[in-house]
Amino acid sequence: MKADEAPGLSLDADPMTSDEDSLDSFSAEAQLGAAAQLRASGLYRRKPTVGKLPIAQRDELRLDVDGRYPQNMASGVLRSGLANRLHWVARLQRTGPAAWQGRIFYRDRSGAMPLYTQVVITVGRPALGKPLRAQVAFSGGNATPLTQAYEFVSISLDTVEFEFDATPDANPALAIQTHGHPNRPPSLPNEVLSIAKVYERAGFNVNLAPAGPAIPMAGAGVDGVWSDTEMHDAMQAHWSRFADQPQWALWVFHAALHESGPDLGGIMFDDIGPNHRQGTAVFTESFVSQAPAGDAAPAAWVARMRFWTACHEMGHAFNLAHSWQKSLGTPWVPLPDEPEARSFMNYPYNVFGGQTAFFADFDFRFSDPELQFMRHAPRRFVQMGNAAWFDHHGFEEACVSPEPRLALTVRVNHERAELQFLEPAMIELKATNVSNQPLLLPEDLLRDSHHLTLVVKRGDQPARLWHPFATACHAPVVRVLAPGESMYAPVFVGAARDGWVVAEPGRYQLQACLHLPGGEDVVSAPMALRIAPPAGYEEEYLAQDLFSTDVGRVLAFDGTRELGGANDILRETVARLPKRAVGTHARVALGMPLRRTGKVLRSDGNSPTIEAVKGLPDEARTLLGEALLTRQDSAAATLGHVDFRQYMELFTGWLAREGETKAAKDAMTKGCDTLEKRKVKPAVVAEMRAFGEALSSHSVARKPRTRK
Amino acid sequence: MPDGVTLDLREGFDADEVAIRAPGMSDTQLVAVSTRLQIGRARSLPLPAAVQQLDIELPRRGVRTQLQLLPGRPLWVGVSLSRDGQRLEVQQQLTPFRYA
Repeated sequence: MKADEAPGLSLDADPMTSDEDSLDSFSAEAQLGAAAQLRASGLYRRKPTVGKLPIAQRDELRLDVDGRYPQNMASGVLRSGLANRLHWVARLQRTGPAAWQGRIFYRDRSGAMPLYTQVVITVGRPALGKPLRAQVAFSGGNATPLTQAYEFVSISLDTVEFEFDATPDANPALAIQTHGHPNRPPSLPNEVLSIAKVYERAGFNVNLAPAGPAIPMAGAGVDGVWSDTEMHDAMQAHWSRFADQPQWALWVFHAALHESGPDLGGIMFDDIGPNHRQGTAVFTESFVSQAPAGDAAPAAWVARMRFWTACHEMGHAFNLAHSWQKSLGTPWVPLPDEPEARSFMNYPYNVFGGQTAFFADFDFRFSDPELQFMRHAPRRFVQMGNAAWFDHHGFEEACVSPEPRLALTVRVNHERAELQFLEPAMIELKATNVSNQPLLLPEDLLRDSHHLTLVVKRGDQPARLWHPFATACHAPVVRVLAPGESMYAPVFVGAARDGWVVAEPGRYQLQACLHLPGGEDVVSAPMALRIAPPAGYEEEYLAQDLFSTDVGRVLAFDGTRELGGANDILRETVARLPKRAVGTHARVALGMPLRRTGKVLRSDGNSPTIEAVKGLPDEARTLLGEALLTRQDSAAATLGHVDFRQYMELFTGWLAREGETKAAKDAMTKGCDTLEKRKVKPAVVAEMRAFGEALSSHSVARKPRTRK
Repeated sequence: MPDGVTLDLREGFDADEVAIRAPGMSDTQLVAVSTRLQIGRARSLPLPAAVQQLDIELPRRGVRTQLQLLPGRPLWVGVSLSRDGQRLEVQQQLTPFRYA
């Protein structure tokens, strides 16, 4: 990479050398003295030492504050032991000639790593002739502050290899003269711009593999045009680097036409098999070879479109979505679409004013959110052959405040974040006012899917957005959240409108984002959750029926009077697995509707009627008593503290109205004791005790509730 | 280049069933229609030049649109599902839709 292409550079940076300087020698004078000519961006690595013996360099820092398209961001990886790892990303503000600070807004964590919230970064040269050194101070998140030193490694953030191969009938454009066409931004520098240079400016050190011999047309079959399968076969046969594994390498195939015809200019065809995004194709004789009638420089127009197409398709291999699709799929948090972006990832002919307007304002670059993704996202999201196509493409473009007022936590009420197989996954959301001012917030902030986005990811599979069964539309009610005060909500995340989300055994990650009125987003740290394997044949057998949408719906709405098949499955669950956590949930779902007579809408031809279905109080008492009063500690854990309290209040209130006041009060006392032992906030337990004391035959009914 | 009507099913489709009906044309039922996100297109179908009206339905979603086609031929009709999945958005033009 040439120095002026980098996302930052140090003109006199040395290659990394052994470092014997201590942090003490990293003086402010040295920092300031170097600042005049210092350009700090690039990749840094930490070189931990054991005594005087260097051990493997592991932790890294990516600084992005100057040079080409600076994003004023830093990211990095902190590791502890073999399993604990934190990928962090922070937005920075300059605080001195070579100093920055900012808030960590994105974390991708495995294992027990501290969740720092702030970084302070200084860069300087410890002594003349020594490599640049960055010092990063991590703080916040109730973690012990940490300061680490990193040494400059390179001005590029990653090294990637491109191999360009072509068929004999293709006409690749691997570089163009930027002033070749008269329709261009007035400020566009006149230069020979290569594809490699485009990606160097995005932060990569690009190695070009020698092109192989022309790809024989025999691979396209008798029709002479290419299908996705034929291209995939050609990639395996002709690309020297092909492997079913993640690697920073990409095969770029130029052919004349795709089998679907001239309307397809190119395609990232490699969404086949386990390792996506290793191969991409450009069809040089497609519509990109047809300049508009009367164009002032048709040859330059064609070259520019071929060049744009190649950069565009290669962008897909870096997991970039189209500009207008940013909010689709499974971004970690919502990402705004950029339909008018002047980016390689937008279609020139789809913007307002068409391709003429696009190229009049196109600087041959990626948009800032795209650069942030390529430079700072966890590398597995970007690296070819790693995360599946379109998974994580969004990374993050949440509107996160540098001084957030709320902290959002996702958790379960279990000692360890592990659920039994079949146990419906209940999580708890906690939003805490971390500002020093009272906040006015919607009462339903945590319960309303208009404000809440939840993403679930299992292992290496694509992340999924959680779509609740119901979306409430409440009259706006505002509550005051005092400084330090928290609000809570349970969420049944196990099942959703499009099926079960947390069900199969394995390791999951859950992350939530709250969209506050006014536009600010609050993003939680990901929570790791494990679903244990089946405990036996009974569980495996039941799973086939239990993981149905109907059962998920019944669990979400706390029962049904209508879906008899789902109720049958829940009864069988209670019979076969009476002591497992799923048995508790099944009893609650079966018991709640049986407490009283309820209405069911019957539709018989054209005459819908409302029918009253009688309750079965004795059966309800048995089911809810078994669910809530026996093994109460386990019930509180699996239902979640918030739901457990609400079920207890519903159950005991109902008992009292049925005339069983003493039984109701005793049950509530027992429930309070259980939550007290589980260290639930004393104020909450006190409210429950007051509720229990007030129970009488005149107890009022509480408003209906659902989990979602 | 076709001289009739080309129907492009574009953004938003996800394992959908699509029913296409037009007077004078036998009904077409497509299954497992999914948008390939890297090009923004799901399916492309040639229709007879004589087709004047189209009725497109996604029965599982309960979404349907009926449209009168513009008179010019060849004609390209692009149909996308809205982000909320509640309606079909139609674009008609006298030049092909381009993808990359």
